[in-house]
Amino acid sequence: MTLSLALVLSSCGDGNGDGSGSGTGAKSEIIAIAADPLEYINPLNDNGSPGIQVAMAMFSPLVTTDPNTGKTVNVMAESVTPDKTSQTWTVKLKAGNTFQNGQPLTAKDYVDSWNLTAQGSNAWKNNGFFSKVDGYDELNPPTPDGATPKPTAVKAMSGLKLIDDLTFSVKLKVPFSQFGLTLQYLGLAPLPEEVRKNPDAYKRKPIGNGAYKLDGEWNAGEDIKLVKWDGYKGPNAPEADSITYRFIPNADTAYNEFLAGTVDFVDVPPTKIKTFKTDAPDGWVTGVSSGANYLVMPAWDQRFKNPKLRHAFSMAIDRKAFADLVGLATPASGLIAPDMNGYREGACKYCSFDAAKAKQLLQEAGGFSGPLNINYNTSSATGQIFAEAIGNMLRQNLGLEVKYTGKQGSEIGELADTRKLDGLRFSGWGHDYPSIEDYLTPMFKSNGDANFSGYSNPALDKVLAQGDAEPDPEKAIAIYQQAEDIALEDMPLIPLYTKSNAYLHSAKIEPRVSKYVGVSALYATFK
Amino acid sequence: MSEVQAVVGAEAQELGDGRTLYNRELLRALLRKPQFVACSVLLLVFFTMAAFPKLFTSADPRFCELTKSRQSAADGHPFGFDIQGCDYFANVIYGARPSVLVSIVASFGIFLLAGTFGLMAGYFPGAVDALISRTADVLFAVPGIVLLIVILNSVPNRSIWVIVGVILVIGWPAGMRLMRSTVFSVRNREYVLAARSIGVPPLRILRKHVFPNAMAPLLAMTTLGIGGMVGLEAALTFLGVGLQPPSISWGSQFGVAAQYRDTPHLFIWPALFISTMTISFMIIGDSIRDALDPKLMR
Amino acid sequence: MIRFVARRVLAAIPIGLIVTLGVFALVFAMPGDPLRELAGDKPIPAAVLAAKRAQYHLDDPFIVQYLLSMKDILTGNFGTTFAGADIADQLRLRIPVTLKLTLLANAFQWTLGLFFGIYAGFKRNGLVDKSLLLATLVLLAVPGLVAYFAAQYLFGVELKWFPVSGVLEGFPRSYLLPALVIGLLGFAGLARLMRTSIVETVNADFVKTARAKGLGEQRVLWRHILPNALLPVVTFIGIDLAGMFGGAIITESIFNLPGLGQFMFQAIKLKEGGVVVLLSTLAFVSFILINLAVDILYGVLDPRVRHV
Repeated sequence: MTLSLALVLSSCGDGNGDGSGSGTGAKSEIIAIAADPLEYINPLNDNGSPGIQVAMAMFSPLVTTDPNTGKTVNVMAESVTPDKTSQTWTVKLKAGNTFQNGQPLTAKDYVDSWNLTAQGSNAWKNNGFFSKVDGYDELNPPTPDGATPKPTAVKAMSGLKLIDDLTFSVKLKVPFSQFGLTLQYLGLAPLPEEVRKNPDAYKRKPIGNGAYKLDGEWNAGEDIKLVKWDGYKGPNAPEADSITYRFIPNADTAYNEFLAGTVDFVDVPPTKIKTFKTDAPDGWVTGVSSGANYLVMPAWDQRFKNPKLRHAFSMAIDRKAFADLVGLATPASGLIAPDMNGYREGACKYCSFDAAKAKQLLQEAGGFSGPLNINYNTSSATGQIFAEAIGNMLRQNLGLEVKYTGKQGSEIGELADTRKLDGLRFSGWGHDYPSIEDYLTPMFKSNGDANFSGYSNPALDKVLAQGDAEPDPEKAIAIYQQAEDIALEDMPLIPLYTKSNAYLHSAKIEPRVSKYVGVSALYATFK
Repeated sequence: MSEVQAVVGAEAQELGDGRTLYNRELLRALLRKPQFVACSVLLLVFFTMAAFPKLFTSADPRFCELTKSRQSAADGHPFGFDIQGCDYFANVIYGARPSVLVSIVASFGIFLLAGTFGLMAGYFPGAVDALISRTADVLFAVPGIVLLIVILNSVPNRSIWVIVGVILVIGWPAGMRLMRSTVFSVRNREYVLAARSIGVPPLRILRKHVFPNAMAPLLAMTTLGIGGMVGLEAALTFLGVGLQPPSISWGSQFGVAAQYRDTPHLFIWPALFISTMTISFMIIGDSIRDALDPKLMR
Repeated sequence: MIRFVARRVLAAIPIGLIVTLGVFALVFAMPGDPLRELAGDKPIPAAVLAAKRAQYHLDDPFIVQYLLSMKDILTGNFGTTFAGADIADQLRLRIPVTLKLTLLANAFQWTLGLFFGIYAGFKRNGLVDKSLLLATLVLLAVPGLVAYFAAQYLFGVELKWFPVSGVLEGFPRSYLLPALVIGLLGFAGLARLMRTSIVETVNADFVKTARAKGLGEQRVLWRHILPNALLPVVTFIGIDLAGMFGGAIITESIFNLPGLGQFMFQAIKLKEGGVVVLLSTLAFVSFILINLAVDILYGVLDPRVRHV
């Protein structure tokens, strides 16, 4: 189950803050992260939500989404300009910014940091991001199974060009109109030269270019304590003077910690979605998460081949009741999240609940043979519950025989990738940059990064390529919507729901809530 | 589970060189105890529930309306509805079967395994004893819960039989040690020596003389440990390696419901059934132990 | 005595080898690719996966991987986990947590267990005895999971008497609540055992003889009854202590105590054979040492058991 919420995204719903908090001297907050303690801070080698969350405080991106307007605005960049075909992009940096060690931030820092990440033998997690860049393949030659990748002789991607101290250009393999948006991903942060030379030595003492720096030493298993770095000259500095990130692996325990008053901010775990408003009547906020959740039909199993059968499954699901079970969720009516530019209410023609129609469609498709297996992730508190809910509806509304298999998420993913997984599974997707394209390409393109279902339709690939090459944003969206329609007709993924996230906060702080970038504790205001 | 086993093992160890009773005497002594009779009746109810759930409820536990998720008791639905909107009373009733099966089969299996191995280890010192005891040492030395998690994560399909099997593998050594030490004290009794001297074959001696006279402490240990099995099954669900739907059991019901604090009926009912069954088994175990050791009475 | 210890240690070596090999084989046989769990939220390119695989010897055959792990353990060169944590650091951090929890829990368990057990044993069928038997039955029937969740919510969240979780407030405050719950659940068994043992010893022939010889009550109690009554209890405490090292997975998870149990659970989920074997070895060594200590204590309490 892949759910990449790298930007901790969600957008505005209703909020209810306590206005009676008394002002305290120092503006400090403790943020609970329901995950195992981080082992290192290096945004280029981290793609998990906990690591990116901390990196957001310590590193500053090239561009970001304005929380009020939803437009892309520059942060470290002075300008980001594509050429006519959107294939070569020129990034110009603002002058005068430095790293926390005092060194000036230059174009070379970006180019070298990105080349370091793109080098396959370094095994950094954001390596894949650069696969769109010209020359990536030379740094990542195919390795025979079981062999150790050797560092390549070529150390730099031919697509990255240093123009002057503050300017560099990126040439992509093919035109890509959305590339400017992707630059807000924190996984593209720059590292200073001393860190680049020996990244391992700086695992626990990162040098960022953002508004906060480490406060003292940070040892294994400890909270991460940050203080404001007074050398930060960029825009968007948050209000807090100091921030502590506390890692609590068990999400329910983290929630209890909040109720006991030891942390200022916590995510509401799925099991508490029904009770958080009474548990903390004066301190909760919600935001529509920019992510969507699906039921995956395996393309490698002939039994699922007929689109009519897929539509039958889809229409046998009572999304309203299921969303109620999930809590704070909205039934899905399309493949992308509702707050994306290009979202159309009711794009999906087969997403309304109609048991009779579903049965009829199943009959027309020739029925389904054998028991239907539903896989669920045992590491998730709600995996089994959601699987049973879907299973019950398919069993009762379509008369199917249903069985369940609980496995670790990683194992389900591996079986699916090797096309050995039997039956349905759940998946989720959250975008890395706010574009309808970041839903369609990864999940539905034949060689998409997150093509969970093994789906392939040349017609859809062709439409996507047209969209990528269209420089006009509005026109591009219209083209991408055609691709969404194809995917909805073929239905390799059955859209289920989009979910709001809920957070609790203490009386001392008021988290920033934006309908574009969601709820942020980092940008909380203090009372 | 290991906790309970350890207590009971050590507790019952003392009985090894105490009295041994013949089965009929034992039964008569037990039937004189009202708490034994009461608990046996309770257990009988649970067993019937497991064997013939339809006697207790006419509702279909698998008829679910998600819109009724977690609603509390209503007409015809005394326990309310579970997370999936299925009738909870029917689900708890049907949950008896895997729960009872796991606890009984695992306990009885451990009794058989531990009894057989203990008998052999105690009666044939030397190679047989060494082989069995060293194997037990190995299993003792690995934390049981680790083996459980690893093995249950590896199997393609976690049915109750797989869970029972793994519990058997990690559960028998404690009982084996107990049995072995009781056999040590019995094997040199006059009647065994007499039987051996007139040339009765060893297997027959074991079956007819040694086993009946040495099994009682192990039996007490087994009954006291049964309850722990149901608790163990709940812990497995918590760790993500419990029974899979559509199997319903009290342990997995509790493990799932424990996360939903706001609807207490979901965890109170299975917890109540688990505890009642556990206490019944324990009182029975206690009674057996007391009956074997009249010094404790009075 | 020295020979006895040496013999026990020598006997432990082959068992230790079988244990480590067995555990490693089991983890090795677990389905799924260890690196996937690590991959985070995004797919990782094949070349990156291959590099990671080489770094952790995952591309070597089973027996080579096992030998490499054992070499690391024996040379004390533990390396890092898949996630990049220094294992020696982790141990330094986690062993004290588990030790504190175990010792505090056992302190509660022994104090309560011995006190009530001895008292009930001497005043058999009295009010204390009867209520003890009932209370222990109830305690033994409560699944541990129920007790932990209930205690955390009641005493941590609602009453705020104890910290909800974590070890921030240090020893002993952070450890009190989980230790109390473990102690209470364990006390039931210990108290029952102690009671039985006292009753049996009080009625034993050698006690009667001692009294008949005209020895004072105090002397009979301290020299004859207690040492003998404690024998089975010592065995039990040994088994209990030895097991606690590997068995605190659930407690540590619910109370967020960064101890060995959580480390073990993580390592199993990530299929880190090396770490699982290292922790199993730790548990095994402590198991052997504690058993040895128990046997020696046995000799002190009971002169009939002599180690030659």
